[in-house]
Amino acid sequence: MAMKLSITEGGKNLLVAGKGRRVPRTKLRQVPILQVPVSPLLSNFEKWAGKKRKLYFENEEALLSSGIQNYHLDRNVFAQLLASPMRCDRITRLKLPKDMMMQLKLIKLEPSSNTTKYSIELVPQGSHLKSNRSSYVPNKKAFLQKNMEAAMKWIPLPALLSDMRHFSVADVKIDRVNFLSNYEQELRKILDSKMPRLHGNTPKLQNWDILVSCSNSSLNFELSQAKLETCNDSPLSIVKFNLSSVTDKSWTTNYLKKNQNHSLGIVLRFPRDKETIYALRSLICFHST
Amino acid sequence: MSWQTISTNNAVVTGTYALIKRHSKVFLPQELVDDVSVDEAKIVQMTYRRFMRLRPFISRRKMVRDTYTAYLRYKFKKENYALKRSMVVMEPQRCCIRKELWNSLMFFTKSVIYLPESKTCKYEISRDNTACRQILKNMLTMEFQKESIIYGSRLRDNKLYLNLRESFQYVKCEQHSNPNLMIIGEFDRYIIYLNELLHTRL
Repeated sequence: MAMKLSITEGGKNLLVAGKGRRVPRTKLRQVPILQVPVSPLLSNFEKWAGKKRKLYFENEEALLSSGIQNYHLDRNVFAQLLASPMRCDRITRLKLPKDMMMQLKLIKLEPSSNTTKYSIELVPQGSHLKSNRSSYVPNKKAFLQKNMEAAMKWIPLPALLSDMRHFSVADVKIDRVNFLSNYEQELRKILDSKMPRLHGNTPKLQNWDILVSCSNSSLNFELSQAKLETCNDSPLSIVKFNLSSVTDKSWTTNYLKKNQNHSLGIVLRFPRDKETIYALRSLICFHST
Repeated sequence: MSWQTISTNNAVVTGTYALIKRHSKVFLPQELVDDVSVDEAKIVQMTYRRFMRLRPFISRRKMVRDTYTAYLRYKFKKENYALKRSMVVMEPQRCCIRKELWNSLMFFTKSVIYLPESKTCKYEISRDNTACRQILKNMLTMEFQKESIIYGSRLRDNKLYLNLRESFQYVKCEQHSNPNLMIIGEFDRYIIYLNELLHTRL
């Protein structure tokens, strides 16, 4: 028995001609599109990336407009001292910025002067050098004198532990009697060689300038305010280096007299006079308690 | 091996860094700090919160992050900075605490900022930011050493704690029986001098 299929007119149109009920275009747009949720692994990838996080700014202008300012720390002596890389002090085993400590290096003795059994010598450096291996000890005269007996322990560890070591500890000479005086002499030599450059200048004071003087104050470093003669700007912050702790008073008086470049005393500026400032600071700290 | 940069709504992830683009949670508007109608305690609270939000930026190592947290807690809750400062600087304090807090927050923020530089395009402020980062890193190392000295000493008395955290005698420029205190004291004296020059409270 043949079945007669009854197809409606609309259905027929849809099957044969594909002319179904057309949905207007405006309605088509309203049909919600099925959205696949983005995995949090992708949307918050920075959380899982395991990378060091930083705050991103496109350029310097964007940074300055957000309220961040340039402190000009390259002109600040204390900032530069505190920012120097940390090194382990060989006596206390504490870490301290290396520019605040005394640097020791192994120097080869010349064969002509090598009348004794020693081939190398451990010497303190007035100004820090990058070459060769070095060790560090606190820059305090009284403290080092107390520990001078154990000076053999100050030999740079990398030199001792190196596979290329060509010396034994017995080959290292340490002049315990003149060790500290040599260091002081070297600092003075740096100061005497660097200072004459300032002659002829009459520097106007700037913020964070360093004024070297010898006052009765017990403090080695002091901060004071100075008002400019010409403008009504905010007062300047001046760092005072006090040489009163240096025991050789005649050298101090002579040094201050010889190198005075301002009515207030010796004015130095960082980083222009970096080496002089570091040598002066080392000398002051060396003599202080 | 070349790394591809992956960008999301909040960050750009490169081979080395996850660079966060949204900084609103870390910054504090200066106008708000200067507004006298806002209570000082509220300002302290707001800055403390922002300092803490910087925690994930300080380091990936938990030990460093914990040192940073302990440092902040001590600075905000326990430290008598006026007493510590008086050991080194004789002059009365000129800067208000609001300004000091804001400057300190900016100092810490500077240390976690990334500016894209190339061989031809260098920014002067980047060197400044690097110095801030190095100082912060050294300060945290010193804080860790202080904690080790206080809690790692075999002596069962709290003299070291009192000296390092409450009376601040170690900051004075004088002969110390403990050489460790002499070393730490010198470092902290310089930090105080830096605070005076930058009007911060590190």
